[in-house]
Amino acid sequence: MAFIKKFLSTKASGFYFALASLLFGLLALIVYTARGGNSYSPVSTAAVVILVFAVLTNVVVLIKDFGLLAYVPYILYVVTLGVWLNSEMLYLSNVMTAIDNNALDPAWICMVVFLVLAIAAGFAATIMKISKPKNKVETVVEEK
Amino acid sequence: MIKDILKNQKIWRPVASVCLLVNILAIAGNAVTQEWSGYINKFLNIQGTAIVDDDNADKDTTYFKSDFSSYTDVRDNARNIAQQVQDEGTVLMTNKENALPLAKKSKVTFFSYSTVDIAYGGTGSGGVTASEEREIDLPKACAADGRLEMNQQMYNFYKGKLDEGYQASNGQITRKSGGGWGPSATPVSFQVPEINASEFTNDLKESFNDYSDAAIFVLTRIGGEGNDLITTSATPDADKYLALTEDEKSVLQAMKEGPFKKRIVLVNTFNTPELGWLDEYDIDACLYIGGPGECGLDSVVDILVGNVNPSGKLADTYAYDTFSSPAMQNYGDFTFANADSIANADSQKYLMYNEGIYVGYRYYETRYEDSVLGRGNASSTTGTFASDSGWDYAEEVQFPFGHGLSYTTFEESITGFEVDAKNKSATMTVSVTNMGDVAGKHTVELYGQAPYKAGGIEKAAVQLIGFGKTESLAPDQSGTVELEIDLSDLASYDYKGAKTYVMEDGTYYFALGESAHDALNNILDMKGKTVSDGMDAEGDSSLVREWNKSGDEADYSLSATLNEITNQFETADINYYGEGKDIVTYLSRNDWQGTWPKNMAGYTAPAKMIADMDALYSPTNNPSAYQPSDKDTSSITTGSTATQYNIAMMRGRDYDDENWDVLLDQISIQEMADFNKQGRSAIKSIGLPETTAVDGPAAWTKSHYKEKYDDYSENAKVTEEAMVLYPTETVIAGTWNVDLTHKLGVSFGEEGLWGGGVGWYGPAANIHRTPYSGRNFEYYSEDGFISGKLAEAETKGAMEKGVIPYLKHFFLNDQETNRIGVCTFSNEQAIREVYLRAFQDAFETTGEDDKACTGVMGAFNRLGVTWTGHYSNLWKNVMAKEWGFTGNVTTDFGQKPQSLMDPLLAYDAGTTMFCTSGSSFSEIVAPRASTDLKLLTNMREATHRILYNFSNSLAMNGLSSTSRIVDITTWYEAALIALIAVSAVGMVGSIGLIGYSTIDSLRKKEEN
Repeated sequence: MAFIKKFLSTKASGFYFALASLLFGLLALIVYTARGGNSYSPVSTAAVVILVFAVLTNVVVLIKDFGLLAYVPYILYVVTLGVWLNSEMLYLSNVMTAIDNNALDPAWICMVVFLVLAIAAGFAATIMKISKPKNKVETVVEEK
Repeated sequence: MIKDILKNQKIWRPVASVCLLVNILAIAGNAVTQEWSGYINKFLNIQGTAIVDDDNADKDTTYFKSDFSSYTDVRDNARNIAQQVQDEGTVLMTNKENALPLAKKSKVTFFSYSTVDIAYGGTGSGGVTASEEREIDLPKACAADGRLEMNQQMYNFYKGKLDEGYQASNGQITRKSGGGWGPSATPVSFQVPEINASEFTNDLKESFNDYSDAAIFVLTRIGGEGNDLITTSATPDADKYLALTEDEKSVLQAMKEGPFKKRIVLVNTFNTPELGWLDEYDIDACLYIGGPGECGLDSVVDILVGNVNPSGKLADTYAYDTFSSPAMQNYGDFTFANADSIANADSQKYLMYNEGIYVGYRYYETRYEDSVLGRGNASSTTGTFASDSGWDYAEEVQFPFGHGLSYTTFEESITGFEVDAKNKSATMTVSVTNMGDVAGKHTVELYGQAPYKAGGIEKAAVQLIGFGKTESLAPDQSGTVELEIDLSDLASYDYKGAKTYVMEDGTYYFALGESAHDALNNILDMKGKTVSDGMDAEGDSSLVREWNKSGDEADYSLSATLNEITNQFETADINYYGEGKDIVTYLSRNDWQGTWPKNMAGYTAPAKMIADMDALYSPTNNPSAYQPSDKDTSSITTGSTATQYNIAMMRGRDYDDENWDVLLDQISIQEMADFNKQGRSAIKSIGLPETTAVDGPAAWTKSHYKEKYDDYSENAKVTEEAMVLYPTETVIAGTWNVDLTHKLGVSFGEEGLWGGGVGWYGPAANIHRTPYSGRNFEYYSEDGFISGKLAEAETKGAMEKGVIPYLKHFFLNDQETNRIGVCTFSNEQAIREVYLRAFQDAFETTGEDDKACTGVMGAFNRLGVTWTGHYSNLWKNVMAKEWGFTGNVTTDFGQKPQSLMDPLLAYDAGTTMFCTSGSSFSEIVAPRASTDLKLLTNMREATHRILYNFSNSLAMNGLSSTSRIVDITTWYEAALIALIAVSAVGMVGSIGLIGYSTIDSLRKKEEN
C-alpha cells in the first residue's frame, strides 16, 4: 500500500488520464474482439494488432514515464481508429444507403465511443505530464 | 519574452498533441479517400482523372455519340420516355359502365394518406428520391392544363397530418414531411399509416359536395431491398400487408357513403395487393399505376381524363388471397433444424421452390384447365384459399395475367400461321381492328400449350410465347402484328430423363387471348369444352391454331451456339441429397392434391449437405475450398514496360486478338487487383481512366448530368441536376412494348453518356415468385418470357450508347429474406423454364447481329449450397458455352473473404469483377497472386474480359492511341495534403521546442 501511495505521489494528473486511456483502450479491444465482424466488414487483424500494441505501450508508460514516449499509445489509438474505420467502410456504406435496413449495432457504437475516449484521454495525458517534476516529489516526500 | 515562450512546455505539449492528432487523422483520411475516391468523386460531382492527348487535336474520339446537344434536352427526353412508359404501363383493371375517362375539369376528391405520400419507387439501393422541382405530385398533375379540379381542403387535411407526424388510430405514426420513399426510407414494420375516416370533420365532409364528380382512393404499399413484405399480424388492423387495414376500410366506406358520382382506386404499389373489396365499396374503376417515377402521375391524370387511352396489361396474376399460390407455401425464413451443426452461419438458411414450374399464372391457369378437364384432382380442396368448397378459379383469381382494359375495344383475327419445324420457328400474323370510337393501342398476346401426358414432364396449360403491340389505331382502323415464335420456348426441359430440352410429339396449341385465361378458354373451346364443363366463360377457337408434331425435325438439345444443353444444376435440387429417394415431391398437375407443396419448416440438413457446405465455406477450413496451384508464376508477365500499348488501340478488336496479351503484360498485379473491384481505378499503364458503375434500375442513382458529355478535360463540369427517376419495372412490364422498352434503354444509355457512368447496375429480371418479395419493384413480372424480352430490349438500348448494363440479380434471388447466403433449391426444369428464361434472351447471343448483354451481376444467394458466384456450371457451362456470353461478371455488393463470397473461388468459377471497395480486397488477392499461377491466370483472364468489354463501351470516349491519363488533384486531396504538411511542421517544431526546453532545464540544473 505504501508503495502504491509512494508511486502515485510521484504522478501528475496526466497519469490518471493515461490510466483512463488504458481502460477505454482495453474496453475497445474487448468489445471489438467479442463483437467480431459481419458479412461486409470482417475483423481487421491490423486494427487488433495496433490496438493491442496501444494498450501494451499504454501500460508501459503508466509504469515508467518515458517522457515524450507517452505519445506512443496516443498515436496508436488514433491509428487504430483510422485503420478500423477504413475496414468498416463497406458496412458503413451499407448502413448509410439503408440496404437491408441495417443500423449500426450497439457494439459498433461502443467501439467508436471507447476509442474516441481513449484518444481524448490520451490527448489529455500528453498535454499534462505523467509524472511530477522530481524536485517537487522529493519535497512532498520530505514534508510527510 | 520570446525565449520564455519557446521554452514553455505548457504551450508546446498541447500544440504537439493537436498537430499529431491532426497529422495522423489527415494521413488516415488521405488513405481512406484515395481508396474510396470513386464514390467520393461521384458524390461530389468531380473527377479524379482527365484525358490528355497532345496529338489529338483533329481526332474525333467520341465513339459513342449523344443524340442531344445539351443535358437539358437529354433530361427532357428522358422524362418524355418515362411518361410514355407510364402511359402504356398503367393498367385499367376495371371500368364499370365506362366510369373512366372522367370529363375534363371534373371536380374530384382524393382519399387516403398516400395522396400526400405517393410511393414513386421502392426503397434501398434502387430507390431514388426525385428532385422536388421536377417531381410531379397529385396537385401538380391535376393542375396541369386544368385537367382535374382537386379538393384542396381534403389534400391539405392529409398534408397537415404528414407535416405534424400524426399518430394514426392504429398507433402508427405517419412519416414526416419531406422524407419521401427514397433510397434510405426503411419500411420497418411496413406501416400503413392511414387516417381513420372518423377524423373527417363536418367541414371536410361538406367539401365533398363540391368535389363529387369522383372520389379517388390511392392504395399504396411500399417495398424495398433488404426486407420482404410482411405476411403476419405485424400490420395492425390487417392480417397481412397486402390486405386493407381497418382505417383504409373506414375511408373506403366514407367514399361509398359520400356524394360521389364515381369511385376510383389507384393501385400505387409494385406488388399485387388483394383487391377483392372493389365490389364491396362500389368501386367503379381501378387503375394499376405502380411506382410512377418523377413524372408518371402526369400520365395517370391524362388517363383519368381520357387524354391517353390506357393500353397496359398486367404482368402478374392478382389472386383474391395473396397466400394462394403454391410458391407462398415455402416463402420467408427457414432455418435448418440442425443449424447448430452447420459451421458457417450464413449457410444455415434455406428456401425450397417445391412448386416447380407452377409459378404465377402457370399454376392458376393449369389447375383451371385440369379442373375443366376433370383430371389431376384439380378441384379438390387442397390449395384452396378463397374458394367456398373445392378449388374454383373464379373464386381464386381476380385479374389474370395479361389482363388490361381500354377505353375502346379491339377485334383480333389470325390472318396467317406457319410452322417451320426444322428451324424451330413459327409465325403468326394477327389483324387488329379498333371497334370503338376512340383511338388506342392494343397488345396482342400469344400463348402456347404443349401436350401433357399424365405423369410425364410437367407442362403449363398456357405459357406466353409471343406478344406485340400495335401503333395507335383510330376508330375502325386496322393494323397488323407479326409474331415470330421460337418453338424452343414451347420445348420442355426434361431434367430426369433426357436431361435436356425435348419437344414431345402431340398437338400444340397457339392461342390469342385478352389474357392468359382468355387464351386458355379459347384452347378449351377448340377442345370442345364449354361453360357446362366448368369453364367460367365461353372460348373462341377461331383465335387458336393447332400444330401436330410427330418425329424429330429439329434438335432442341443444342443451344444457339450449337453446344449441348444438359443438366447443370443437379446439386441445386434438394433431391440430390436424397441418396436415391426424393426428399420432396414437386408440384405436379398429375395430382394437385397429393403434390401440393408442404411447408418445409424444420427440415434437417443431411450429413452430405453439411459436408458439402463445410468443404466450401467452413470457417475452420480457411482459406475455404480454394486450392492454390503452382507457385511459379514466371510464365505470366506483369507490369512490363517493354511495350506502350494503349487500351484505345484495342477498340473493336476480337476477344482473341493476340494483341490483348501484349496489353495485359503491361498491367501489374496490384493494378489488376485494384481494377477488378468496384470503383475501378485508372490503369495508367494502358491509358484507361477511372470508371464508375451506378445502381439502377429505375434511375442512375446519385448521378448528375455533365454540362458537356464530350468534354474529357479536367475542366469538365458536372451540374447539380439529378438524373431522371423512371417508373418501376412493374410499370415497364405493363407496357408489353418491346420497342418502347428499347427506347427506354437508349434513354438510360444517353444518361450514361451524360454523366451516369460506364456501368449501370440494372435492369433486373428476377421473378415475382410471390407477391411478397420486397424487391418486386425492381423486377418485371412473374413470367420469365416477358421478363426476358423486356430485359433484352432495355439492355440493348443502353448498350447502343456504350453503357455496360449489369443485368441482375442472377439468379434464384426472388426474395429478400435471408438473401445473403440462403441455400435455394429448385429442380432444373423450373430453373431453366422460369428463372433462367428471364435472363436468357439478354445474355444469349444467336449471332453477329444479336449482341449479348455486356454485364451481369450475380446474386447473394446460393444455388443449392453453393453461392452463385462460385457455381462454375452457371458461368462456364450455361453462360459461356450454351449462351456464348462474354460480358463482365460482377458480384453483388460486399465481399466477405474466405466465406460466402470468397474471391479466390469466385475467380476460379468465372466471376470477373467484385462489387466491393476498400483495401481489403486487394490485400487478399494481390499478395497471393504472385505465388499462385492459377489465381494469377484467373485474374488476368478477368482483367482481359473486363477490358474487352470496356474497349467496346463508352469508357473509350475521349481516348485515342496517343492519349494518356493524368491525375487531377481534387480539392479535398489538396486540403488533406496541406493539412498533413502543416500539422507535420507544427508537430516537428513543437516537439523540437519541447526537447530544447528539456535540454535547457537539464543544463540549468547541472549549472546549479
